[in-house]
Amino acid sequence: MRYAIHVDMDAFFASIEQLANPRLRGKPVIVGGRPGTRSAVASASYEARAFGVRSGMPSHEAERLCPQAIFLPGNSSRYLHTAVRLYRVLERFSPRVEPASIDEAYIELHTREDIREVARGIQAAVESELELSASLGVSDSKYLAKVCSSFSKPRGMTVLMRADVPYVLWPRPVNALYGVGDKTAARLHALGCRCVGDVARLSTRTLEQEFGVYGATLHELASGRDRWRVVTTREAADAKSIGHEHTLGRDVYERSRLEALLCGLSEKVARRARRAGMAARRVVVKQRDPQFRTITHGRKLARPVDSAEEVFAVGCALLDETRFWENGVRLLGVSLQLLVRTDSVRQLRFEFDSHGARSSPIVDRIRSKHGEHAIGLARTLEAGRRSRRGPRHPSFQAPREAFD
Amino acid sequence: MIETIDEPIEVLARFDKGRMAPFRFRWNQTVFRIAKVTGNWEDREGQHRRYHFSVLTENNDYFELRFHTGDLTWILSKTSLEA
Repeated sequence: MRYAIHVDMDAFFASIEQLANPRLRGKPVIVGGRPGTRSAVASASYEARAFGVRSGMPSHEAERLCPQAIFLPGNSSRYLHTAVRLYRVLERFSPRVEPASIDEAYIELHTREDIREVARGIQAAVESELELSASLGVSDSKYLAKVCSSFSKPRGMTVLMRADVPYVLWPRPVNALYGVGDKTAARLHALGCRCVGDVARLSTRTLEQEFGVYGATLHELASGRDRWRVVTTREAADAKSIGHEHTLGRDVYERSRLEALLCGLSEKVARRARRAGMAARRVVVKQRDPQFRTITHGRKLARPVDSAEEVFAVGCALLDETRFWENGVRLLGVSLQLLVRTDSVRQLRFEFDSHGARSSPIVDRIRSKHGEHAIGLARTLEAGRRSRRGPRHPSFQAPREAFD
Repeated sequence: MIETIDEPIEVLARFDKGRMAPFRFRWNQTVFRIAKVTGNWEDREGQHRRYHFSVLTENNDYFELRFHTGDLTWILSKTSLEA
């Protein structure tokens, strides 16, 4: 029989920090930006969660709930290294592993053994090799595995088969459905749906009238039906978009500072696109003002672009078109969409000869050799966000003596 | 609290079975004996790898060290002064 298992690491970043530093164990640890900044909680230990701290919560709110919490800045390379080790452990149980994010993955298994025993084996292997705990959702549906992995945390395991949906899933509140947040839940409440079963009992037509195409999806999910399948990294399709956004330390009203930031973001997304061998036919700029009003404004291009200069030029034009930035900017983002493979672009003989396009491969080679901050557009320096320091450390000198 | 140090240090490390593990280092004229390596990971700075280690000393102090393969230097990245 075919099963899907969702492996969800418990308080992943915070647990890694507590594992490395025993002084943090048993204490409320929050990984994310420090209070006083505009950043959010990336991960909170269970000791911090006991005070109501949750991932995604603003750091100042987390500090208010748990003033004694220890805030740590986070270490992405360490977390990524641990995630890769997790995927290697899971691949011993099945070649069909889908990394869903840095702290969760799906496994597809075909077995006649007791699936609970197999799942316990996976949980034990993760715990013994990584010294970190995981919660598992087990089902004959990938979607249900995802839903039920959160039913019992930490170190939990929940089995939810399609046949059990009316007994297990239907009595739960509508927020138990994947993708249903507070806003969608409020709209479902207005339709008289308090629990998942109410959504399943509504007609697809009624849900489509309220939610459009998403209404049919909601009905399928509430009924325990899904078209999800485990997709391994090798099978994964190319990215649909590449984006990067930045919340500013203070609201920005000066055009020059905004352009410097836009330039830095353009460099990042263009570099990622080139690494993936993609070019974009649409550039989108996202702006959020101090009153939390957000607009996204994009432009479809005559030919695909993959250089920072070209993305930046389109971004500047988009800023001019909306003039939204004049209200002040709290968050700025750049996204590349309608991606096409660069090799197909070249086959179609699109012109790829702008100055930016010519210099990009050289810039990429310099960065690959000397690091991401080794070179960049001078304009980004205006933001004061990047320091171009030389080597920070003197050359190695052999110890004068083997100290004891 | 975790404090960023980023200072060059002298380290004695053991190379065994394809693995590297620091076991002693000197910082600010003080020698620290490493009781346990609690974690390790790696990243890149340009074309060069950097190997990171989180360690506990015999006095139960927490440090993070990193080894730069580009110029063969050891850096004391961080320490936990109190928690």
